[in-house]
Amino acid sequence: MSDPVHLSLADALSALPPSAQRVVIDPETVEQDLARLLLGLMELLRQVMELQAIRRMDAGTLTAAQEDALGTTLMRAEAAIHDMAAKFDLEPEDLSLDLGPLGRTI
Amino acid sequence: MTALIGWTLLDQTSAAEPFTTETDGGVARVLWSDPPSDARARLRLFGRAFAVLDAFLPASDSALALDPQRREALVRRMQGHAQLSIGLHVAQGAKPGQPGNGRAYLRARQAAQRQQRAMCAQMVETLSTVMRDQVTDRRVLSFPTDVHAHYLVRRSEADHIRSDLVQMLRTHPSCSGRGQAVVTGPWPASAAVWAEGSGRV
Repeated sequence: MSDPVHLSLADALSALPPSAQRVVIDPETVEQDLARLLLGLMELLRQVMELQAIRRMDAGTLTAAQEDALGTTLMRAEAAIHDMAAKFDLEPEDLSLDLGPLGRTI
Repeated sequence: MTALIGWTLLDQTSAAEPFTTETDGGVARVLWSDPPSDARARLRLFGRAFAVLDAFLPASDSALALDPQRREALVRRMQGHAQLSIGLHVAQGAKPGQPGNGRAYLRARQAAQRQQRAMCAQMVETLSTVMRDQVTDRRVLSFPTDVHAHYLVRRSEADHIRSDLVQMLRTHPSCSGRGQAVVTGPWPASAAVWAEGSGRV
């Protein structure tokens, strides 16, 4: 290990035990696992956009029409993501991704 | 998770380091034996133990850049103290029923987020009250739905204070059923370095 004071995040993560670094892929559930990953990322992005929309509402920079348009878009995006998740037998809470040391996405 | 990473890195340090670690219920504890007397060396040691934390919070690097007098003052303030860290996530309540239009949807989400913020603010206030007499330094970062608090407490009392905190968080209305709270520590007082001037209790 180089000078630990200047240890990079990549170095630190590489110091984790092998079991923490390994990606487990089960051939029986690979489609569901991939769907969980992709839909989880989509839901994360959707929630980030929702937070930004709420910030703009709080700041009073959205008109009623803009609020309606944004809200409708976010609402339909959420419904679409949940519909797609249901096709892979995934519940909305399954879309929360475990990022290990960084916590969960949603 | 912080505890896990800290333990992992500490576990790879030399046996000659002036601290040892043990785990208690999945939470790493750092036991000090003979910290170096030199302030710079000690800060480097803190940085080593918390290298991952430093990737997010450049504590030791900024501390090392201080002039010698301020550095010595920091170390003096940390002597005999340990850090307790608290992470709290207040979960969003039941989602509002599907509103008829986009504006109602966004307004409902806005109200839910305000409620989460209020609960976090209540928790920060409660922590401030509870810890007022026991804390040397504190650092509280409050995000809309999360609280991250770091407290510098007397090392001899850290276990006792931690038990009280865990009990309090278990029964606090912001946590029971709506949130998840994690208390880690006692840690070396490293992350408190960057808390300087952030509000003494």
